[in-house]
Amino acid sequence: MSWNGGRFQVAFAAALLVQMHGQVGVAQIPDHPVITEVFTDPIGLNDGPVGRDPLSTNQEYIEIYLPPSASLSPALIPFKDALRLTFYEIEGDTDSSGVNLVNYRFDLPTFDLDASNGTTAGAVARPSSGVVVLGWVDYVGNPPTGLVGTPGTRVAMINGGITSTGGTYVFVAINGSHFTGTTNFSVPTAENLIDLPAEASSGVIQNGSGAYLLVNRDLAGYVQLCDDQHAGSCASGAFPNLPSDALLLNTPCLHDALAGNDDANFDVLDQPSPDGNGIDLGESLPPAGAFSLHTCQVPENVTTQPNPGVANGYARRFVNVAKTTESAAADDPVADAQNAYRHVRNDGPFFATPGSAVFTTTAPELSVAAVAEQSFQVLFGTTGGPALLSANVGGNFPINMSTSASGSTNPAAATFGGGAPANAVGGQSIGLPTIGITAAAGAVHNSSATSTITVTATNTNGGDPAVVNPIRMTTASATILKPTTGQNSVGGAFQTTVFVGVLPITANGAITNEFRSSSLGSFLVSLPDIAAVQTLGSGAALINPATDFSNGLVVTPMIDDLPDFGQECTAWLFDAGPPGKLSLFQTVTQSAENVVNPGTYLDSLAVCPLPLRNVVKAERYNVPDTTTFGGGYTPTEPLYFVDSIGAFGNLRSGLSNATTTRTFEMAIVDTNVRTDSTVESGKTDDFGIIIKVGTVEAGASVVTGEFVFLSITGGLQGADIDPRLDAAALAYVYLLDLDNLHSVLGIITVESVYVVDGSATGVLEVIEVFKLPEAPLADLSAAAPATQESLWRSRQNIIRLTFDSNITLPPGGSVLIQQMLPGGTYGADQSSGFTFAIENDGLGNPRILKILDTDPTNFVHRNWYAVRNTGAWTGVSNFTVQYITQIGDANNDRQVLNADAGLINAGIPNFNSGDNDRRDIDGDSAILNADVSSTNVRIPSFPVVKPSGH
Amino acid sequence: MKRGKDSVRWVLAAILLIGEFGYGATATFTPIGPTVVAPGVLVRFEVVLTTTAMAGFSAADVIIGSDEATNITFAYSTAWTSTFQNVTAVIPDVFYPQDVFVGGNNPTSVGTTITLGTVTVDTRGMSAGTYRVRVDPAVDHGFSRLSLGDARDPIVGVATFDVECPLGDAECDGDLDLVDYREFRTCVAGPDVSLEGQCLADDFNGDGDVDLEDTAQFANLFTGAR
Repeated sequence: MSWNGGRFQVAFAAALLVQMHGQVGVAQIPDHPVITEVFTDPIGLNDGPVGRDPLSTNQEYIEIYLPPSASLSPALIPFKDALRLTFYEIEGDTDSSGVNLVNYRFDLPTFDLDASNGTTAGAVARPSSGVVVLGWVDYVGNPPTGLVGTPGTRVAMINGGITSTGGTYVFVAINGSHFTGTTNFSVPTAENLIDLPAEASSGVIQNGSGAYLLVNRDLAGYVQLCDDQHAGSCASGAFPNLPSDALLLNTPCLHDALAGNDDANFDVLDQPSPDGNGIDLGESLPPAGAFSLHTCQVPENVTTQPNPGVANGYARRFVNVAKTTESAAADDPVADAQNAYRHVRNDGPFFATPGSAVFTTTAPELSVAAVAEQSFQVLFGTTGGPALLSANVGGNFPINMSTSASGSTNPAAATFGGGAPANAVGGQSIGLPTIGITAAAGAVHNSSATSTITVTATNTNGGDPAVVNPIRMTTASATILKPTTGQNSVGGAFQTTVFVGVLPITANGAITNEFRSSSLGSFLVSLPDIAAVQTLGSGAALINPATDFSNGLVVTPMIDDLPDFGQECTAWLFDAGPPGKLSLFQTVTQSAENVVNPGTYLDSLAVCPLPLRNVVKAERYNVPDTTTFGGGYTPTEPLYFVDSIGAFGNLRSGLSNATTTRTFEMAIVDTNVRTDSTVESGKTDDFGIIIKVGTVEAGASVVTGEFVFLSITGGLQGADIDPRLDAAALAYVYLLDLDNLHSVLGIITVESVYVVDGSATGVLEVIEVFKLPEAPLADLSAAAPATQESLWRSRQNIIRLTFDSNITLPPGGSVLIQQMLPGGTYGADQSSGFTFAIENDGLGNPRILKILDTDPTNFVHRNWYAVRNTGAWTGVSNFTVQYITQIGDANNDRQVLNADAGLINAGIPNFNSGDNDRRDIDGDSAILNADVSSTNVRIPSFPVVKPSGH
Repeated sequence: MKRGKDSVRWVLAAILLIGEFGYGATATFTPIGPTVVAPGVLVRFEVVLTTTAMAGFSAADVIIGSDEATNITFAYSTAWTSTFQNVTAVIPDVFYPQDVFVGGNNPTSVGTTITLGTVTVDTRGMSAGTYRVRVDPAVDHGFSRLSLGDARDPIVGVATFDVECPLGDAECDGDLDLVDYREFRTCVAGPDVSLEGQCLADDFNGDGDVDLEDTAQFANLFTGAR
């Protein structure tokens, strides 16, 4: 599949994220009424009160903020005691019969914004919060036969159903004049018209594309218009003529406006749309339109991380941060769409909040998205680190978020833990603290578990207002992935699947060669011959610490990239398969991915006319004899595993930030460094992977030379890898775990690996393909003292074991130090009484294990001891060295006699002897009379026979 | 420089620093002769080692040193040389500006105490002042110790001595010569003329003045340069 999601949504989401985490402008209370929230799409099918989903706590509503009279612009001062507002919605969907016409009109009751001189008769006093909510009160019956309750107890369909706002805000019942009327809530002075019974169920606020206008009935340019279904009720009909500022509704009466746009071709950066092209709102908000610069269009759909999805409404981020239409800046709907608004989502973390508008000075508040957003897939053999979708939904005071987890409902599937915090999350911004989900060792495919997660928020800066709702609980669920088959074009099991972990190599100014510093670099260094595992000849340079991995002039010469267009007959591939099997071209064209998503590889398939042949835009890397199992490399860094549709990089995936115990057999290194040393995102480096079979087991379902188009993580055969990681990386290393090729298909070795361009842009830039065989075990090559020799000190004995390849520090208890007992048995392990350190050999390689005896009771005089690895120290062959303790054996003849005392006496005094000088008996790094004393008391100590069986 | 009669008295101190280590052997410094001397006079201490935490010892490593003394020598006692099978040759200047490393070892214990020998400080060239000779684990990294098998007993001990200038010896070089006389002559003021300052060191008869009686005594003690 090719992921070619709309660039407009991408651009919008990226910009939205940037501004969400950016600085907030100078705060000022608006000098006119503004629209703060339009909630268009409640939970359930119906947006109106009838037939609503019982789980919905809010049906559709409109929220408006009225500034205090002291903040009003001079032009509005005359209306401070009697402000008469009207809310219009104008249809923007070009496919609608009512496009560009009024969907509805609400004439709000008169508001008195100045309490100092009493309340104007018939007017509604401005509430202390300044917030007014227009919404439904509940009906009786379906179709409606009345309003619920008495006129004084009507139920407003917000905040779970209320009969009073408590005086903190004003609720205007848009249908409050129906039937016998409403007295506990204000009602519009007019609305034209809510059609019963249909709109009691469907609601009136349109989902999709439409412009929301807040106008003043007493200012120039106001015209009373009617719903297009009732245009005849108004003298001016239903056509506001927004493109014109001379006829009908004019901008002088406009206080505030915004629009939602659900057109798939809408580009948030391209408004007002210069050419129309039939895009929604293009006709009513054209470039020269009177309202166009004042009515920013916000995309209804966001496809990018971290919170893709469709808006259930729109909200002003901070009421007191001016839009361009409210400031000295040039009117700019793009900037306003990007900076001033955010989505409202039924699953949060920005939920509908009727009656509550946010200022920069509002206290910070923690919100965590609904359980539906906290569901994660985790790959067997990994601990995933998905981010929990959370937000600071309050004012502009940063907060720190952390997580903790309770027990798992199914430990046989997965266990849960806390993760990395999200710090300094600003107001109205998403926060992504992570959790850890570990797939259980015995988990089966598609098994699942849940855990209660606690998210805790604290102020980042002391002295800020306390965090509201600082502790939130949610439930995270995990599904374990352990697939063994891929999918054919109809979703059936097909061949097998592999796993691909992506290791980003990120820039580090303190390191010249970031690749060498990765665990993969260390692994490759540990191999005896880099030339034996490389494919393109760049291996030696890539593991050279002096190679500048971020320098384009250094890296780009290593690239062996995909062929270009125009090279169909010279560089595109036409490899034939073995007799009776598919060619490379047929492997692509008949793949499940190509059948289901024919666009994925469409541009990578061509016919070369001379010589006539079918060719593929692909590159082949020969990796002969690469085994499909028993890979030697396991990364220590977190990986981003590719999911079943080929995507990776979603921070909210359990396949992301995953540590793993899996082993990998092959690595494809794709640089993102351009020649000028800038770094491309890598997001267009889409590609599929085909392997050419080498040797096979008897009875294998494939044959030598056959092409196998890989399925990844159980997805479609041939699905292309689609990078979606936002973090810039110098390179992506694609690590291939191919074990299923052996266990399911019987493939023993791979002969070649092909990358097929899935983006048509050919920007995958491979600089090396490595085989990752199991590293040879380090063998013990020397010991000091040598095995069978004596340990000569009363304390601070030192044993140095030298190996023939690099080693790492053994885990505690993995190297056993035990007394040798008769019958070939051993005493208890005493290794905890020793310290272990790695030393370099003469060539600077870490190949010496230094064992220091730190307890004088460790080695008892005239007892035999063994130092052993029995397998617990991985990467090192098993070994045993045996020592007799003969304290005072300065001359290393396995006994203690006068000759030893004499040898020591000859060295007295020496106040700085080496740490392994055998004349230093008491381990104080000096040769003195005290050493003779320690020796004398053991004279004579003749050789000791080893216990039997050793 | 000149020193008055009431300056530093002869002092001997052998200070045990057991508390610092919780246990410890001692080096006791017993003066042989005066410990307040004119420059150039030898100061001697007999050093006796005694173990306190062990039943005996069979080896000793001892560094006897001084931060200020310019010449320290050491001679083993016959008790030591006749007892220890292996006597360590004296090694100078190990940890202090001036010190000696001495000791020895024996196959068996030599008991709990034994005279190590005599340490001699040649005070030539030393200016007036108080000086120490010591065995100090804080300086020698704990290498000064008595041993019995694997057991160790750190040694501590200290002695002090003073170098003082004779009456009339303005140079404080141990003689009365013409240089000293020139200084003396400036102080001669006659009978009953009160003294002050450095001329107090020229009042040989202690009658509060520097007169002909004091001049006669200076002449009697005149040694000339040496």
